[in-house]
Amino acid sequence: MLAVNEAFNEDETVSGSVSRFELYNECAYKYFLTYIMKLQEREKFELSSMDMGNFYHEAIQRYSDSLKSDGKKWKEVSLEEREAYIDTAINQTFESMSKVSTLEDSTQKYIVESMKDTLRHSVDIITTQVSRGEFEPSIFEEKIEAEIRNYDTNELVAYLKGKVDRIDLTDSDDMAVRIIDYKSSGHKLDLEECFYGLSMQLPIYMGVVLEKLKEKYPNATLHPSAMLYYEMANKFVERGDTLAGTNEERLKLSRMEGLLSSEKVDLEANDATVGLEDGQTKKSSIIPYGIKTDGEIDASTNAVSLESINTVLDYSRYYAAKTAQKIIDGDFNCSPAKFGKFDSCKYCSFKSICNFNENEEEFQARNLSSIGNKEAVIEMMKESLDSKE
Amino acid sequence: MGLTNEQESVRDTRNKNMLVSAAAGSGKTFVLVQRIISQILDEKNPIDVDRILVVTFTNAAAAEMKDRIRQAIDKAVSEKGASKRIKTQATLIHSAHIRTIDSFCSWIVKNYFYEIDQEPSFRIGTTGELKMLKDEVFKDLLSRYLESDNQDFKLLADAYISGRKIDSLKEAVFALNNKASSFPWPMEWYQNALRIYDINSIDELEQADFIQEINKYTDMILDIIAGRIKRILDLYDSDCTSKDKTIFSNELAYIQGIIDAKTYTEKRERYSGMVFERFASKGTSLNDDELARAKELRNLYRDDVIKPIREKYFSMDIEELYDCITFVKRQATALIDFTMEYTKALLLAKEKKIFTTLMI
Repeated sequence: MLAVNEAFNEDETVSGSVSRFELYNECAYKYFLTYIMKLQEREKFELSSMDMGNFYHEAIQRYSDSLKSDGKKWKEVSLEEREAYIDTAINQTFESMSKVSTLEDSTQKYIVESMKDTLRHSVDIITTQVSRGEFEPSIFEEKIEAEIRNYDTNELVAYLKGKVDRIDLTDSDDMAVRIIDYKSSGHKLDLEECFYGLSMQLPIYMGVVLEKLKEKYPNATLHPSAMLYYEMANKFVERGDTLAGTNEERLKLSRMEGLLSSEKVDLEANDATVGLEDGQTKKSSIIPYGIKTDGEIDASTNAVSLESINTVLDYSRYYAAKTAQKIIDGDFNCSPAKFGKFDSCKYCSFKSICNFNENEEEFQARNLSSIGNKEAVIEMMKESLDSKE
Repeated sequence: MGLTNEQESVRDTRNKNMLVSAAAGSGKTFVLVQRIISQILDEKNPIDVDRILVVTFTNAAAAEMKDRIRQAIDKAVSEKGASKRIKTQATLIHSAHIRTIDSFCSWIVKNYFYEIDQEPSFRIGTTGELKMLKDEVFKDLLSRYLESDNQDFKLLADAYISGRKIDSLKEAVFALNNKASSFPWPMEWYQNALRIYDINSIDELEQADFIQEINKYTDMILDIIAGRIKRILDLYDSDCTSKDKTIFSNELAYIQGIIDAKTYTEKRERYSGMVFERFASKGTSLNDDELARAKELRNLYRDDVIKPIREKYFSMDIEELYDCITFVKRQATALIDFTMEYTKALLLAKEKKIFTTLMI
């Protein structure tokens, strides 16, 4: 394996996106086949999930940029203005995507039309989400870079590159920071998955974003308030007992998922409609946050203290360094991670190559055990970090 | 080896459909051979061996069966006084239809190709080849439909194409096609499948089969519940006037009212009007054990029967239900229409494949 390692990586650093690291932690062999052997599925002339993602990202960025250049805020745009802005954004985006204009198959054209609908729906939802709190979408498609160093030797082991889809900021002096990542399928930020390095993207991005913003706004006491996923999809609401509340139901279907700071101000900045007063609700329709009758956060809320969030950020960076070191060392055994419902073999297209079969002796899955509640996971993260100092 | 009485009746029963089900190794094949032999050798109503169709699952079973019958015929021929007819059977056995399902179907097509407008030199497609052909036919047809101005089909596509995934639509079409193709007249099956949507007014909806089924089914469940409440009520002393007894007799009357209601609309009104009072058992004449049973029954019919039925079957009023059905009818019609076209196109594509193979 050392020979392979030397062949692909002379200068002993790994560079690329965070998803590489997540993939490595899913299954080292999958990483080997994807990034070192560079195996790819045959490409067809049709819209790929990457094309769709690029379209959504770019169109939303263009939409927001034109709002900004006209001095408007997301929550202030009227419905008609919005339609006009969206149409412009869509047209500009398609102009820059040559593949789309050359698609001739009607099924592909139909899919393009439905993408437009999904985009309109998403802008609608995001506008409502934004107007329920104090955050304003401020930076889009922000390119970030980060050096990852080995914790023991301080040697440079990885050079991470990535793009943060959206950064939201509050107006206040202590400036709260919220980052959003757009996904084409449902994602949750599970702390246990963070612990096992299966989900590192948002925490690593947040860490880098905070550093960058500190340079930009030296006077603000910046703090991480939320890291969330938003699913770009146009889903159907299931009919319940009554038809009432359908708009709210649609909003709930597009709820952002992720980790929140449990500080009162942060929760309010994310969703001010939650509370005990008249007209307020006990369960947020836009983020994983709800309260009990005494006003305390309920069990469905995915929030931890500010200190804990910082632990998660540090830990993810530490784990990225650890992962990079393993890649450099050339450890590419076929050992797919299985964790609760998570099974890295499930959608893997390399099954015919590795022939992994748990019933055969030489194959061994990495069965990751559940740790417990959020506090227990944070505690484990702290222990790992401490033992390295 | 002698036969049991049951085996004998299997052997000797005539002019009836028969299903024989017995454990492995208990002699089904043996009795079947006996039955065939006895039909061939029957003096009153003799049957030639090539007039019998025997279908098995495997080639091995077919060969084994043929062998046993041949041996039995040979034995009969060698016996003294065998008639000419029986001697003929020894020749006919070679062309007897003792085959697997596949080989029988293939024999039919090869011998009657002119009846179904087929080439006699067809070949059987492999699973992989067929899958590719199906995918291709589906893809082309889908593009053609999406290009057209068919609004009903657009409704269907909007509901079943999500993002860039066309799989759920494809699965629905393939499943329907498989189902229809297992009937002798698939096109008629498709037409029939749409009959449940043939509802053109609210009155017709009230009378429709599936509404009648809902009424019948839910009434049947309520009937069982009513019976059980009655048995609980029988446990009370006749002069008992406690709250729990009143609750049970009121609710029994209410449930009876739902059963007595004739139409969906009437039933729905009564279902949604049903309120469950707070249970109290002060001064009850039941003992602890009986009271526990009574409470358990009440929780059961309140939470696991009435409420779910209300939600599942009676949540929409008849007008809304009619609107929904009218809407879904458009999608269903589009789906069936598309699948019919798919079935035809697939058949054509298969015929073309045979043709091209011949050309090469």
